[in-house]
Amino acid sequence: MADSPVVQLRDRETAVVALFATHHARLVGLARLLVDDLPTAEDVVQEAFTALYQRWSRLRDPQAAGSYLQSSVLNGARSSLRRRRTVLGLVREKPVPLPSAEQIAVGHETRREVIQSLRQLPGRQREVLVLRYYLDLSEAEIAATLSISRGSVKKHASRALTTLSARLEAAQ
Amino acid sequence: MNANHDDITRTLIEAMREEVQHAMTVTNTPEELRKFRHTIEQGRKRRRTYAATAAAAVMVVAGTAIAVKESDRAPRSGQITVPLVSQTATPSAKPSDSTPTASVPPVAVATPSALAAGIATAKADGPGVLGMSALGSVWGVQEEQYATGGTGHVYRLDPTGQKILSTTAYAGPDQDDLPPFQVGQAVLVASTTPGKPSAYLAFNATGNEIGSIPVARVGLGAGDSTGGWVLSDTDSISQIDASGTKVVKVVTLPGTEIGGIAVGGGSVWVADQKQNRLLRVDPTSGTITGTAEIGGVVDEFLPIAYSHGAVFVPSQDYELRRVDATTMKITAVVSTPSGGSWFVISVGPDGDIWAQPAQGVVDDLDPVTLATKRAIQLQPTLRDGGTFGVVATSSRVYEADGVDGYVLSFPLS
Repeated sequence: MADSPVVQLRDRETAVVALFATHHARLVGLARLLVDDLPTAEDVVQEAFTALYQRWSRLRDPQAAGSYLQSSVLNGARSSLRRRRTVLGLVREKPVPLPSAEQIAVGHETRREVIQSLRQLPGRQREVLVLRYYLDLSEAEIAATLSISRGSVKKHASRALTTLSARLEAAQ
Repeated sequence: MNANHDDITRTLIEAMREEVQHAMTVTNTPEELRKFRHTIEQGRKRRRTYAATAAAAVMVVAGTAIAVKESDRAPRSGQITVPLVSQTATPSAKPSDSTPTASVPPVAVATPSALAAGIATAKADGPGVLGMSALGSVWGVQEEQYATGGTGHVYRLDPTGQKILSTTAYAGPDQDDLPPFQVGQAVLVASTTPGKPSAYLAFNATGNEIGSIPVARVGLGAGDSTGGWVLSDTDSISQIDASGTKVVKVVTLPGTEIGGIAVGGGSVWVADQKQNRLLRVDPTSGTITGTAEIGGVVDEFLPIAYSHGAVFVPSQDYELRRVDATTMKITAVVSTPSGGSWFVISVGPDGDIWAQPAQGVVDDLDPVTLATKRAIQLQPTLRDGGTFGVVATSSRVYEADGVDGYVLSFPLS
């Protein structure tokens, strides 16, 4: 017997809430690397889960929900950043909190500079680096995720790393 | 990857771990889960409201006819929907919740004294990007992730700015907010579906899909009633015929990564984001006849425009540059005054450049000096987003709100 709409709804809610508990923090981490502040990252992840919830019945493979969420966060972060930069100029003038004395330790400042520089990269370059070095995706997986060629993935990664190196050297 | 890249890669991985660890520690998952539950509960309430009012097929509110179809209220995938709400803002307009209800249509947030006279609003199905005026309508697209029913739509706006004429679902809307553009007798919309070739879908004057142009990669394009050009791969552009459905030829520009495209002055203009250059391309031979160094970061998604013997190139540095079409020299540069961007630019019928320098503001820029001739405030407060498209016609200027799906417009007089 087919499930009633109520049962289906319960299943959907149960499933998505379980996914929320499992993946939320990790996805916020992903979004945090792509957008400019934590509240925006949390919003992007919220929207991804809401979209998943709305489309649950059309999800061919519920096992792929994690991948779906990942792509959704990626797209949401991109859209969010594009909207925000039209308004706030975050890429150019994002204020960066001054590090505390405790934070000024060997290496920390360098890493902070790298994250700052990462956020100033053109969107596609930033996405390629985050997918490659945070999610540890292969070039082929990144190409499929971003709908670009493997050659483009290499080019974006190479240019991005070159830019980061140059900015880091200039900062030091 | 060279040794220098190895060093930066190690540092980058460490920095990402540190940053992510911090974010994961700070974020409050239980609280976020509570918000999520609240959101889906609100969605249920909204659906119940829609169901209860489905019988009200047509309502009249404040003298304005509002067509309300049950299909608009109950989202269904892949279906064509028709006008949702249209209304002209009046001095009595007040801020309202974005959630549409059957009895109170959404009205753009507005303080009358801050608005241009004669402003009109129309409500699209969700946030998206406005393209241009063509074939008797103003055209826009809505992203899949925001539109009702979870599918992307291309919509046509009445030139009066008060009514959505048609809303057509289409497959694989691109996620990069690529605006639609006219090529010949069609309007092209970028479509990307995982596992399928990317394509431009062609729509006719009544909003019906009439063809598809498969390409290796979609992006920006430009044209007029005689045809036009589209991005077809990272380093190539394709000429499209006057029907808007057939490729005439493909021009490859080795070593480039093409962003914006414009047509004008007998040339095709290409923004090369790889080397931050503007290229002038002979449309017949396909050869590069001129190059201009932009001096800012060219964005693959930022449209460029041709007007008055010059090409206008926005950059990620929040600057808009005027490049002389003959000398290929930059003759004027203007920066956004308050951290906005020139993300959207449009050429008016008199050749003026219309652009968005800040939240809710549209500027009329002199096409020779880039001086601001007038600044129009359309909307004093946008909740979270910015302008997603400006279109100037002989009678009105239209602006798309990137959050709620409103299209605001005001008359030129």
